[in-house]
Amino acid sequence: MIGDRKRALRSALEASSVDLLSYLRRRTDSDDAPDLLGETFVVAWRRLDDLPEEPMGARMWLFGIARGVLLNHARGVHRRWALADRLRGHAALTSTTAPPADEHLEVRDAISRLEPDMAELIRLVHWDGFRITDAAQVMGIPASTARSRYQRAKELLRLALDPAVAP
Amino acid sequence: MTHTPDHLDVLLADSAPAETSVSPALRHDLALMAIEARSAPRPRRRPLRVVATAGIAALLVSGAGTAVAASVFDWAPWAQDPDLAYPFVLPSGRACEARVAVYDIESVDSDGAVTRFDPANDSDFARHLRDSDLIDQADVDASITEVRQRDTSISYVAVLPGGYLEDVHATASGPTEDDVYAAAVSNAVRDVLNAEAAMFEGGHDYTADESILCETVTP
Repeated sequence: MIGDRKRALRSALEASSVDLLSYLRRRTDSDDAPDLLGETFVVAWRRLDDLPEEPMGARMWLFGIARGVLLNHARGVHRRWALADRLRGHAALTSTTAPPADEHLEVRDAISRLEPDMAELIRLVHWDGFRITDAAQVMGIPASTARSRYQRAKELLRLALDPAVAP
Repeated sequence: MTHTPDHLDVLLADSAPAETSVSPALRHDLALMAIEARSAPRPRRRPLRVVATAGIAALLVSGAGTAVAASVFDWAPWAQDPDLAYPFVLPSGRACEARVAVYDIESVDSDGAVTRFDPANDSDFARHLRDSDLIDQADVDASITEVRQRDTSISYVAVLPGGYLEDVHATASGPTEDDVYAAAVSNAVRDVLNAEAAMFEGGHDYTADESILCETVTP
């Protein structure tokens, strides 16, 4: 039933919208994040037929869409959504005034120097709280591939941050 | 994660940019945004071009085909802003374009007469068509095969010198290659629409206006 599907998507969007916004803000300029979220919502409605039935599956599906939107954004596809303007006015979405600590900058820099897929795995697991298998789903790769890439990424980060991670 | 976090895990977690502070107002606006996104206006895409022969491909890729069509053809008001546009070129080199506007059906009376919803009310299906690159799915070659198999001993679809398509009485020479191609495009576009409607929201009833115009020629 199409009505059930629409209700399910509304529910999935409501349940994940804050996390999706955080996910997008962590990977792009804060001012762009509302537009990217709007694009994510629009794409989700367009792909209503593909919405997984299980709530957790729907959540992973939405993050997968957000990731696709981010990749398009990185390729230079920029679109401003009027419905995002409402969000930009929220104080919670304005840029933080306090810069991150040097230690955090060093870690973020080390992550960004990983191969893009490895870096995204690390961010999904450690920043967004996904299990590796869920991160694999968001990225559209096999869980076994995600596990091996994740382990390799951790090894590389240990090497890059050697003094920082020493006990 | 199921393992005991080590120092690297802690560092990685601490390096995360700040989470979004959630307020009731933000949640409210996010919920509104999620609902509004369903009917957000889609960006209009430039219609793709389809070529009948390789020899004229370069002309069309350069954009000339659409420019000619837009400036020469005298479209009816409903076709000024179509939901699907399909510029193409006939084997003779005449530039043409098919345009379709779809409407939701409000009612069908006992005689089968269809009443459409107010055309000014953009339907979800119309927006879906405008947003999709459905033209790629038009299989004109297959449609040509079907058109050639038609009985043309009584009548057939012809492209008139004035640029319109019309059912004409059979002639001794039969349909030209242009006639066959134009009829095939009409079929292929309709097939695409029907296939898309069948998949849209589990099956969608619609009615449509369709028009194909070609460059005029001197008879």
